[in-house]
Amino acid sequence: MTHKTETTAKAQCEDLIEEHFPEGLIRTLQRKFPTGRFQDFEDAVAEGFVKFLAKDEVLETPAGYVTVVAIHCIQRLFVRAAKEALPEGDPDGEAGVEPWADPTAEKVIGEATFGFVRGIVETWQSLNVRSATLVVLEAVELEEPISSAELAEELESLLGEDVLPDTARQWRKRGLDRLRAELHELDEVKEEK
Amino acid sequence: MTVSEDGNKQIGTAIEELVDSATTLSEDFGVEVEAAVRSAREHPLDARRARSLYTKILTILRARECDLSDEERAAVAEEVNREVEEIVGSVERPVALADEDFFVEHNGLRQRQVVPTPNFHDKTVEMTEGYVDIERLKLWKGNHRISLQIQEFEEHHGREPEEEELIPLMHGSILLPSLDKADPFELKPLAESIARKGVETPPIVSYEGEPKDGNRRIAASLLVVYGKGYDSAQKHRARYIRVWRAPEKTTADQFEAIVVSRNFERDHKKPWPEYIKAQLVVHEYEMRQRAIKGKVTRSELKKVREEVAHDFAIKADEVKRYDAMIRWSEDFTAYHLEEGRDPAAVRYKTEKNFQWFYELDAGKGDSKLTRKLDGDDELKAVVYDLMFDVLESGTQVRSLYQVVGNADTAQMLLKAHEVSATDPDTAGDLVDDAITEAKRRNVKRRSIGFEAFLKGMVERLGTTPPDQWEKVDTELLLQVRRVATSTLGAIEGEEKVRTEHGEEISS
Repeated sequence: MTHKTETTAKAQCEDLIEEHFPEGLIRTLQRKFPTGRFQDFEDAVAEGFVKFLAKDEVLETPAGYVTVVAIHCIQRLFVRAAKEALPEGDPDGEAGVEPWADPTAEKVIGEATFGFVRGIVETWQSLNVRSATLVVLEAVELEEPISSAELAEELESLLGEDVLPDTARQWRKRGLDRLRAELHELDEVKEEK
Repeated sequence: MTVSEDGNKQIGTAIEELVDSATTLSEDFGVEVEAAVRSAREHPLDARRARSLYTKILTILRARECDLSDEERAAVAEEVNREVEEIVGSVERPVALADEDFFVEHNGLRQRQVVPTPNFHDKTVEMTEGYVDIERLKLWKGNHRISLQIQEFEEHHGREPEEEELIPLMHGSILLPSLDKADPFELKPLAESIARKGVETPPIVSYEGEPKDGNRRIAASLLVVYGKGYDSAQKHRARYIRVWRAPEKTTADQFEAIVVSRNFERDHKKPWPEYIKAQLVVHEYEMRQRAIKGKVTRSELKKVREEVAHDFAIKADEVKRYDAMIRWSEDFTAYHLEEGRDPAAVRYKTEKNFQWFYELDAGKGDSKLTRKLDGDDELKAVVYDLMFDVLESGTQVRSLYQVVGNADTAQMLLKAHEVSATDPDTAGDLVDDAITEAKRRNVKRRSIGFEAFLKGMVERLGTTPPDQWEKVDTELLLQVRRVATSTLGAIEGEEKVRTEHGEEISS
């Protein structure tokens, strides 16, 4: 569903700007994250455009793509801010220790995490839910948004049958819910989000 | 924590992040996209922010062709600027932020109308209240409190201070010749209070976010947000403050009324008597001490004091002071009840003159009256009786340690006690005489001490090599110069007086 034409991706960005979409997205982010700062929202929207241009593909919903990247960017920023604030209240008295200060360790932990989570998903019986979740995990590994339409397209080629975007969305939801529940049983994530 | 435990903890966090990312990145956010498209049409950003946003995005878009020469880069910048101005100018933009953008939801509070409508000096002004990010506010140059500093800045620098210079000006980090204090607006104590409990009285800001009342509170909050020694919770508390925002068309008269009302009219709020506050604090302090099992160590006591101080928004030293004051006030009450005085009169006296139990602790080390009272019941009876029947002020109580420290003046005090029951007026005069005499003798003693200090100083400065001054901090050097100048003035004055009295002084 995507075509590799750099100029058209750029043209899609131009269209978004012409429609004043970036400032509309800022407004949306302000509502969604009321305690966030304007500069961070601005950076997040800019990140959406940077990724879109780097992707070099014409998208069916470029606005959706930029929105997902921006929201993801802000969420990560919040998580990072929370982590930076953690050492002061650390009951173990590890104040000042920055857990992500070592990029090599971070990479190792990242790979171990993906391996661990993928291992859980691969044991699932349901081919559809398993495949949908693995595709989503692959997208996360690439830090790329994946819309329901794109997920459906990927699943069609994997399963060799027609998959509607709504169906793909359902499988994805069931997969992520199940993943959360299993990880919760293993005491790895909070049950509700 | 061992390495593997640490690693497990990090993996746990990474797993949580992974699942969150999976949810976000695979979500369509259709509602958000629609909202963004709609907002783009209906709620454009103000010109300043729109300009900043589009400059950033268009620069990304236009400058992608990497290796650009300086000329090409300049051309791109020019093109970007032109396009930005075209986009910014293509729609009508708000001059200031609408309420929903100005305020942030915080502590469960969304922006809302202030009810009943506030009245300032007989003028009602409808206000909206809510939390704002402190960085969104700018200080008000027209504030009367800083007008002198602004005037001096203009005279000194030949220009008005920039907006960003107002904060360091208030913080005292921009030095002006007439300001010899490091904290001219005494923001530090206010900053401490804000760090503990946030800004309690909301500043009043114009629609554009300019504070018409509360410059000092905002400057103190910024001191917490950017200052050292505050933890993240305190910084967060200081960053989001509740303000009242005036409507767009508020007139200058209305703002004047706000300023007058907030700065001149008394709010008639009566603070709690110190005695009541001290009782509450000490009660809590004792309860927490009792909760500690076994022997209470000094460090545990200190910790308890700090906790109580935090909960009552006071300093740990004040807990200690209240504790001593309550102890002495209870002793005073017990003594007079034993003596058969009317309980109500004793209670009234204790509450009314509660501050005296702080003054009772004046002096240093063994010269303290409280030390002497602890081991001398007769002296205690004299002092407590005089406090009940004769003494009239805390200043008198504060001087008692000097009186009892000298045998002659102590005798005068005993005499006052003897006549106090039959002739309180004479007793009062005797106490005053005793205090005056004790102070006179104390000054004489201090004078001897001062001379010894001066001899030491002459010797020390006289043998100081010139290069030792190189290492002295500039701030301290300035302080020394200030003190030395005033000391020279005092010496010259004294020389003049002595010469006039016939003394021959050779320089």
